[in-house]
Amino acid sequence: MKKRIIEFPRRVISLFFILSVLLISACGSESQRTNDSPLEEKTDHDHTGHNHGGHDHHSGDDFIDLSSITDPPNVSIVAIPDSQGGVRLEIELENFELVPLDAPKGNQPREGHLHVKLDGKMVAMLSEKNYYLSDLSNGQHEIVVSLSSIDHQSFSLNGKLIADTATVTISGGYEAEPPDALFEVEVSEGKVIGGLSRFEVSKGDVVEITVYSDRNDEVHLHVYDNMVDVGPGIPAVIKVDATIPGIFEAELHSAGFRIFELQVS
Amino acid sequence: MTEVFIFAHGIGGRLDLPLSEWQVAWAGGVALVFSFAALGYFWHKPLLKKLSIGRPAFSVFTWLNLFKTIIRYISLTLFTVVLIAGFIGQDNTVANLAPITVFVVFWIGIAFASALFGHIWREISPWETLGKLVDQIRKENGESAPKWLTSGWAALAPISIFHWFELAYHDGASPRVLGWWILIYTVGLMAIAWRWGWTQARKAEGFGVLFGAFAELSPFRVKETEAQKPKKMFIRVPFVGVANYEMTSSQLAVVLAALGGTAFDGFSRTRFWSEIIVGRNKWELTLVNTVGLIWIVAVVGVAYHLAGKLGGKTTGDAKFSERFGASLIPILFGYDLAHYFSLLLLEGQAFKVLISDPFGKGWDIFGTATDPINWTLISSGVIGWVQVLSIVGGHLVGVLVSHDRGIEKFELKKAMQSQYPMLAVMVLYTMFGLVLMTG
Repeated sequence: MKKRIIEFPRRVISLFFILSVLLISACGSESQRTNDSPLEEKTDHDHTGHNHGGHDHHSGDDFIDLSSITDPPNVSIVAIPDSQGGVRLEIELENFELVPLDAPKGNQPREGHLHVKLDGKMVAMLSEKNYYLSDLSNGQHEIVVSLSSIDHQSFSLNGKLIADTATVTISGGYEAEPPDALFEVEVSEGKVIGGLSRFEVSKGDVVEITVYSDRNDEVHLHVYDNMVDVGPGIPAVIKVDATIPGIFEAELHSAGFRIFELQVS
Repeated sequence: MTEVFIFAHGIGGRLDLPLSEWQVAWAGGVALVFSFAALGYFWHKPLLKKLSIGRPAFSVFTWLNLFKTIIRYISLTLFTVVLIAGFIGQDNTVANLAPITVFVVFWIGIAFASALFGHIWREISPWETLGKLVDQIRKENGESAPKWLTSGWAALAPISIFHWFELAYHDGASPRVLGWWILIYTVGLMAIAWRWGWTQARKAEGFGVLFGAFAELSPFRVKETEAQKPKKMFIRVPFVGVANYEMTSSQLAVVLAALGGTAFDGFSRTRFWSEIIVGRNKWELTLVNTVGLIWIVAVVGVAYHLAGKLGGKTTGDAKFSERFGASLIPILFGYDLAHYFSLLLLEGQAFKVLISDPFGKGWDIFGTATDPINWTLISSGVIGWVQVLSIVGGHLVGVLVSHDRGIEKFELKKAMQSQYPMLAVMVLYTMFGLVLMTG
C-alpha cells in the first residue's frame, strides 16, 4: 500500500512531463513549415486549349435545365469599355422576360433576372437590359451574364449554363496593384497535386491564385466568395484582396473536395 | 452593386487563425502549475458547495413568466418555420435558414445561453411545449417506462447522431437532410411521450440533458419549493454551480460524447486531418470522418474511464467516475467557447439575413434580407485570446471543482490521491485542446 502511494505521483509527473514535451514540440514543428509556392513558370500546361463560348457544367443541383422546352431562352451581351475605367453592358434576350428581383412568384422557365460576374466574382443581379460597371482596373477583364430564375438558380441548356461572356480591355482606369503573392494549384484525376496547401498571406495583401484542372468544374473560395470556372486548358484565376483575417477553404464544386486553404493573418 | 451574395456552402468555410506559440505555451504552463498547486496548496474543507447555493434574489417571476410564454411561442414558431424551410426552402446549405439555425443558433447559441442564464431550454424548447401538449391529450395508461428510457441512456442517441451528421456525414448540413432529421426526432420523441408520458420522454431528449448540464454553470439558480407555488431565484458565483451537480452515468456519457465531438471538430480542422481527407468526397469522406470521430470520442471517453477506474481503486469509491463528472462540464464549456465563439458571432449573422426570407421566396420580412455579413466584427486577436482564456479557464474551474469534490468526500490524504487520475485526464484534455488550436 505504501509503495503504491509513492509510485503514483511519479507516474503522474512523468505523464505531465511527456505531455509538456509533446506540446512544445508540436508548437515548434508548426513554425518550420513553409508551403508558400511562389509562381514558377509552368510548362506542362496547355494554355492554348480552345476556348469555347459557353460554360460547361456538370449537372449541378443549382441548375434548372431547359433542354426539354422548345425555343429555350438565350442571352447575348455587348460590352463597351469607356475611357474612365467603366464598361457599358447591352444585353439582348431571347424568349426571356425580366421580372423584378423581389418578385414573389414561383419559378417560370422564361422568367427571372440576370446575374453579372466580373472576373469570376458576382457583382450584380439585374432586371434590366442595360448596366454600367465602374471602377475597373486597367487590363483584361472577363464579364459573364447568365440567366437566373426568381430564386437565383441558374438556367442551363444541355448541361451548359445559359450565359454569354465578353472580354474587355480597359485603359484609362486605375492601375491594378501587382499581386503581393502568387500561388498555383493543380488538380488532376481527382487529386490535388502535391497535397493540400495552406497559402499564408498578410492582411491587406493582394493575392492571385491560379487553379489548373483536368476537368470542368468551378472553384469556390469561401467567405471571399470568388466563384471561377475552370477546365482543361482554361485555368481559373482567383484574385483576392485579403482584407478578412482567418483561414478560408477553397473547393471544387462538382468534385466536392477542398483544393487549398488561404490563411490571412 | 450593393447586393449581398451568400453562395458559400458548408457552415465551416472559415476557420480561426492558429494561436501563436507563446500564447499556447503560457496557457499550457498556467494550466500545469495550477493543477499541481491544487494538490497541496488549496483549501482543505469543501467550499464550493456552499457557494453554489447562492443568495436569494429579487422575485421577478410574474413578468418573467409572461416573458417566458412569449419566448416559448416564438421558439415554437421558429421551430416550425425551420422545419418547413428544411423541406421547401432552397436546397443550398447557406441560402437556407435551417442549417444556420440548427448548427449555430440552436447547438451553440442555446449552449452558451444555458451557461449564462440557466436551464432556459427547459422553458422554451419546442419539444417541451409539444410534449406537454401530448401529455394533455393522451390517456394515462399506467404503463411503466422501459429501462432504456428511465435510466437516461436514450439521451446519448440524439447527441451521437447529431455529431455524426454535423462532423462526419458529407451531406449533413443539407437542408433536406436536416428537415428529415428534425421531423424524425420530433415524431420519435412525441411517440415516446404518447406511450409513457413527457416526463419520461424528456429523458431521451439529449439536447435538453446536455443544455441542462451547461446550465449548472449559470450564476442563476431557480429553486422550486414544493409547498408554495412561487419559485425562488438565487444568484451565485458563476461556474460554481457544478460543484453541487450529481451526475448519473448516462449524463456523464452525454457530456463525454459532446466533449469528444467538439474535440474532433477541432481535430478535423487541423492541417494533419486536412491532408488525410484531401481529394476525398462523398461516402469515402464520410467513412474517413466517421472513423476519425469514433476514434477521438473513444480516446476522450477511454481516458476518462481509465482515470475513473484508477481513482475508484485507490479510494474504494465505486461511483468515482460519476462523482467527478461535474468537473468535465466547465472543460466542455471551455472547448465549446474556444471552438464556436467566432462562428456564433460571424457566421451567426447569416441568421439575421435568412430569417427575413425563410423559404427563399424573395421576401424581406424584417428588412434584413440584404444585410451584409461583417466578417471583421471581431478581430483575430480577440478571437485568439477568447480561445486561450476559455480553454485554460475551463481547465481551472474543472480543477477547482474536482478538488472540492475530493475533499468533500474523502479524508484529506485519500482526497489528494483521488486527484491524481482526475488531474491527469484534465491536463490531457486541456493540452489536447490547446494543440488543436495551433492549427
